[in-house]
Amino acid sequence: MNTDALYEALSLVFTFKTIMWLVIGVALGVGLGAIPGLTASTGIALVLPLSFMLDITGSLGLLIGLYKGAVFGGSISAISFATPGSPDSAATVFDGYRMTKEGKGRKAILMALYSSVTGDAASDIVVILVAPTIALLALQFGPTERLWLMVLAIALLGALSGRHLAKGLFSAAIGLFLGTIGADPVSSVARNTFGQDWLRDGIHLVPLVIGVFAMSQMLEQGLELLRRTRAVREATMKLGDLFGRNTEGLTFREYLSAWREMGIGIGVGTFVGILPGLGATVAAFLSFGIAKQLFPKKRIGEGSIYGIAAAEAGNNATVGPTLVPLLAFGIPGSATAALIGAALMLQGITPSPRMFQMYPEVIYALFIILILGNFFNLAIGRMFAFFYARLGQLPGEILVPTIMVMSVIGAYAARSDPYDVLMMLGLAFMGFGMRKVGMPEAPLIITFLIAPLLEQNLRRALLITRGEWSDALFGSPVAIGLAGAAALLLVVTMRANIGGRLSRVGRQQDEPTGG
Amino acid sequence: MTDFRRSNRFVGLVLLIGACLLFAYIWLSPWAHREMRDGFTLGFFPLIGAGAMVLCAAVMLFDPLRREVPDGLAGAEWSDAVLALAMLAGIAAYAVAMQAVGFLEATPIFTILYMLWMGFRPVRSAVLLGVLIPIGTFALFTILGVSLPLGPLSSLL
Repeated sequence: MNTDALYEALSLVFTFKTIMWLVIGVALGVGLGAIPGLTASTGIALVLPLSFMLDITGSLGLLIGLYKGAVFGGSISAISFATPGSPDSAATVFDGYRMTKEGKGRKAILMALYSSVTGDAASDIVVILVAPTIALLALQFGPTERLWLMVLAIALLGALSGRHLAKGLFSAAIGLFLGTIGADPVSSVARNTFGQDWLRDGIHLVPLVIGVFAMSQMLEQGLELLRRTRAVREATMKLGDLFGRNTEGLTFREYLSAWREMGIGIGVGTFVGILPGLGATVAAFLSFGIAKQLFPKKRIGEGSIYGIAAAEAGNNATVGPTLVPLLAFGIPGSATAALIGAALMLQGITPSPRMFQMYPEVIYALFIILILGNFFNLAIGRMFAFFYARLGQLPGEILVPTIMVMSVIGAYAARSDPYDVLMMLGLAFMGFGMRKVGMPEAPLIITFLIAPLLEQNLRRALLITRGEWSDALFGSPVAIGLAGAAALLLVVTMRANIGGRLSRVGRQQDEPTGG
Repeated sequence: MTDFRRSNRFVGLVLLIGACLLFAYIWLSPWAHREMRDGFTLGFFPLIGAGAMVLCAAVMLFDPLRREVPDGLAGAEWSDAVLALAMLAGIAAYAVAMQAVGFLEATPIFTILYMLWMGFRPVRSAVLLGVLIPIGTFALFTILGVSLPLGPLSSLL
């Protein structure tokens, strides 16, 4: 262990500014998570321009805090009104809302909080142990192996991020195409600009991210408001009555009694989090389903704290591990990891296995922030969860125009370039169309980020092999293995429809509000 | 819209036409065939991107999910796209106005109009919130050091 770097990281993290941004991130994240329709990706997209103005630890504190808070925050509205703040918390509705109707809303929210923090903290420890080892392995890779690793990641993303392989891969292809607009990464000659001078620098990340993740979602919600097709769930019960001090809380013994379910959540969430493309929703439903099958006597799904423990530990346990492919290989495994990777790049640090050698203090700082974020999540969740439950009732008619304004500011403020705003709006329409046809956005953003690396590695491999394509592509057993794995994955996914089966995990459950 | 026009096959067909046009546009562009020092042509990777789009869209026409209607298109109407474009046009107009006259001058008009358009009532509350939200946002971003376009009202704060 590099103790100097560790001390430097500690001195970077334990400053007023970094802690403040971490607290703001968690507080903002829990709030965004609690508001139905806003996800961690939307939140990170909106604060990404702000993160430029912070130093590296402040930026990481804000983004990681927001991510952790948002994944827990989704459970608040799932438990309070049977409307999950994000799909990640949909599995929590089954038990959480039933408990609320039985007058045990306070107990349900506390179980969600404690299991979220437990799952998150345990998986963070796994990340700290695993990521450096994998990075050491990745350092042995040459350009050929890195190229195939990226292809494998794209194949995984396409295969697992939605139920339709062709749409997932189409989204990845859009990202690859958009990533080639602007200067060629090797010779810096402008290309693919459609004759527009303002495209010579390429598509800037901020308008892309805000357009695809934030503004497109607001367009969709705005349309729902205009059409009034959305079933307005009026909270018929007063939240004060549900979560009052006199209502039943959670005892330490009850929390400990859910250790098996939390263990399932931690195991499943960590594994799912490391794999590119799956994400917290799948982890939550898988953990919930496994716990339900293994412990039928616990009546999971019928208003039990054990179902909440499994689902919430499962979704929060993906938060840290989703950063493993980013840190170990420089390949983001999820949209949120891509956004955190983008924030690092905007700070001048390219995520890659070399980061462990070149910027050990940043890696240590990130690990400390990951662990520290859990304490703030616990404290803020414990103190303000019931306030956030009220936030979930904020009318969309106020929220949508406000976030539209924030999106315009975000796109404009990054470079004060009006073209960025226009580009953001154009990309928002594309994102809106993608949502309508059921095309996942995550492969687009991830491939957009790795497109230049993909090109650089292929060209470097060809340079090394003096133009021999077969040697450049299949010059080592690892490269052949990775290429074979990517091809096999695509064939198996196509034949077995794995993405479809995984996305049906959630759909096959009973109607959550039905009883 | 008929079921065919909502199906994955129709989506694939539209995407295929668009991707083919994009591929052809790049192929016919002179820059695409310009060779770099390492032997690569400038258009190699853009063509891979467009080519992958063509391939995936073609697969959508024939794969097992071709007859399925995506959830988002089940109740969709063409007017949804028109409304979304109208919303975007309004936001673009707001962005232009914000730059021309200042954030504090343009934003309240935008927020009030959009809140009312989305159905927020009563009007008095929309006006009050529509003024307070931009002031709060302006104060927040000013504290954070983000420079927003300034107009005559900015000096009052």
